[in-house]
Amino acid sequence: MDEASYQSFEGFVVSSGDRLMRTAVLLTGNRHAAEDLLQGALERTYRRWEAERIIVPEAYVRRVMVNAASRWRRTRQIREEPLDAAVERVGVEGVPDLALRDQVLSALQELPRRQRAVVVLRYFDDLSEAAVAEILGCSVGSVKSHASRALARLRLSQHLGDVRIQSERRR
Amino acid sequence: MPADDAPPGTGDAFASDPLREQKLRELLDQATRSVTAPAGLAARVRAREVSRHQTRRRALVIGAAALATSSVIVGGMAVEHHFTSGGGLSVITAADGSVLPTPATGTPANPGVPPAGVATSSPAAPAISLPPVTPARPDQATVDQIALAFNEAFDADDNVDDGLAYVQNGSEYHDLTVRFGQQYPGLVGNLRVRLEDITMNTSDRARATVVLTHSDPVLGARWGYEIRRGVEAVRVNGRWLVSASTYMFLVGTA
Repeated sequence: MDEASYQSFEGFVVSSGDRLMRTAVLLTGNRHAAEDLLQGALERTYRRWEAERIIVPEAYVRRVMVNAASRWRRTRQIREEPLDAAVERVGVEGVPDLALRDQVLSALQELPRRQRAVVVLRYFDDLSEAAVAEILGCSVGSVKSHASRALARLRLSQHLGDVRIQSERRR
Repeated sequence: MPADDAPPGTGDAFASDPLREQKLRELLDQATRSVTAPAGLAARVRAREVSRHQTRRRALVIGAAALATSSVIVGGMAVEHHFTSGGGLSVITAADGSVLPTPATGTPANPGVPPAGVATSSPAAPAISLPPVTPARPDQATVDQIALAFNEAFDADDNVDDGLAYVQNGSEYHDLTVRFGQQYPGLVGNLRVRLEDITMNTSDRARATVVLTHSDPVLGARWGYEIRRGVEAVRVNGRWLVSASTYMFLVGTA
């Protein structure tokens, strides 16, 4: 890859890296696995960066991550490690909301991989049902079905009990 | 905001309506708001790819080198490709040169001869029944002289002409041998020669299987090559020599 191409790749990583990292964290459930997942997806993207024009790089990386996360989970290669506060952006109140993240990630981990992917792509990445179906290689109806079941399971999740209480207290 | 269809005592943050879907969006956003990508991620990706590319190239070079010989020893086992008249037969032998038993009979595989019943790539022979020919075994003095010729011819020391004195028309191969030594400097002092199954074709011609072994001086004894070939010795003026065709094949095509 020549220097100009690398510069454009680096620009893409700088502009989209944080967003993609957040997707990776939601897909994998922990930061270390998310870093591995994102880096692996970016390496694949890097190999194709010059040879093939990738029209929407972020969508491409997201697709690679979703598929890789599914495979990793099947082979249990994800490093299960506790959340840590290292390399966190300090939040508005001065500390990252690790408790909330822990609850949300734990609830997501309870979902089957397909449902989790739908939740992340649909409700975090804000993709349309058609776009999610295209990434997952299934029908729009299947996406709707997965989303509905995932929402029902999340509603029953023990991990999100406090979220309900906080939400009621705020009202 | 309890959900209408939620069981009592369970979380109710989400249900299938736009408001609750919005709540889920906010939660996912809040939960990961402080997450950032590692610093220098693009550079890390590039470094990994460069390293991967170099590793792949190195593997290709090693693979090409391995394919250039007839056999490659990996760990304790060697997969060999025999270039007998039948050709195309692969057997597995131990790296130390000993021969493993064949699975069917438990008898040692003859390194120079394909086991019975194994198809080879040679063209189908005409259906003519010939009486079995028992090769003549040479006496011990002849065996020693032939072995001496091969050991001296392939001793891989610095004196090329000493070795070529044991090769039929050896003087013609001086330049070839010098080039061979320059091309494979790691062979010098590292090559071992062993002869097996010496049989007499005529009173002045003998066939045998030569096993040339050398280990890689850099990678150590577990990595190297074992070349097993059918070879021919000729008696010229009462002296046994490595035949010109055998030397040309072993050195000239290496």
